[in-house]
Amino acid sequence: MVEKLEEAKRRVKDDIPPIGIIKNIYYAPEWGEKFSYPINKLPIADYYVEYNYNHKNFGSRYLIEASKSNLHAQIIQLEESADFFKREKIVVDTYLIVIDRLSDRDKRKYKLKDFTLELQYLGKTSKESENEFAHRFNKIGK
Amino acid sequence: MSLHIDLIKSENKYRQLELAIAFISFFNLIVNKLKIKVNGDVIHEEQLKGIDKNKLIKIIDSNIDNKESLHIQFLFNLNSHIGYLNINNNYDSNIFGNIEANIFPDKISNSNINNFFDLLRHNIINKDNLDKFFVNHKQILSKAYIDINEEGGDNPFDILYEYGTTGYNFFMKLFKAVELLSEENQDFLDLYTKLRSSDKNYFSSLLWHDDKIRDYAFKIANENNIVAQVGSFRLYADNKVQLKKSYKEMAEKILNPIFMEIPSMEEQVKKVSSNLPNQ
Repeated sequence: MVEKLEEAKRRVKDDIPPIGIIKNIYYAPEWGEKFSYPINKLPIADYYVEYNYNHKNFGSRYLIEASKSNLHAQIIQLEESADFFKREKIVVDTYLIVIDRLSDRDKRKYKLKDFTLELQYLGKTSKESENEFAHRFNKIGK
Repeated sequence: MSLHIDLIKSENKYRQLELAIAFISFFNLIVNKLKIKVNGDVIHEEQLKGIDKNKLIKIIDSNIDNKESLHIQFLFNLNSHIGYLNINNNYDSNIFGNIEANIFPDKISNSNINNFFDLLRHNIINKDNLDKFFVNHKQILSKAYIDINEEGGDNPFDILYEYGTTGYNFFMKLFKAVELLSEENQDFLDLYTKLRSSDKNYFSSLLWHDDKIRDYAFKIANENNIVAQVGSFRLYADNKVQLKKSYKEMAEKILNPIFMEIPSMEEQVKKVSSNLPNQ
């Protein structure tokens, strides 16, 4: 969770995966303004990041929501932001959640053996096992 | 720190919808988006300028076979804050409550309102009004609460706000508190050893219905800046430290004197066993 711009700047190292040279990082209010997102009406994801490196599967434009523990609310924020990009036909290559730990409730809902995560905004459906899920969401960016 | 609302078991999706709409109206929430999912798939989505209850009922009716799988999400504004109110499907109801409401962290302005509890803490939603809302709907309500770490409502040290329709649950929470305290303190372990062999439902009801004991427990809570009131049962604490201190004091001053003279079950079993003739 990035509550303030200053905090976002402090947390960059933890929140943004070091997968390539970063071209631009826009924090929530900044990317909101850049794309005319209705920031007063809809929840907004933390970062819009552009990398110089264009990954063959994950591309170079990421929307990232980061939090210490509240995955449940993070998903809504990312989903609403993703809906907006889809509606406006603005291409985002990867939607990503970075989380430090799962709350007990989140563990019950999301960290189940049969849990599957649908990465629908990548344009394909990928079903991930618990381990892959934990790896992607707990470790990425660390 | 979201608000979780559980209805009594017999209540169905229509009653949940009714309660959710009443909540939205009571606290003047401006709903601007509706999203309905069945088994994770969005079946209906629209921007709203107000809630059309009949339309929502029609949507539920048209999914009558999946009624309990419906997940209805409202996004709302309360002043400048954005939040969500979910009427959960059956599966999520067991985890997040039948209805769940929360505020998203404020990423734009400099306000300190980042979750539902902050709304109470800063009096954006008045806690007496929240109580009043639940009192008005207590016929269909089981309990409503806000927990700090989203642990699921079982840890009494984690719940800063609670409205319960069954008063004696207050003492059930105290028993649970003793169980948790016993993990960190030998004195509480001795008390818990004795307590765990008693019928907790019966015993908490006994304590609740004794006016003097109940008032004394509330007095202890109040001295720790915790609002605990009879009616049904209401609790509000500003912070976790005071809440824990309050439970500790109640256990020491109310439960200890009751159980002090009672021998533990283990001792009793050993005593009877040692008096039996050798075979």
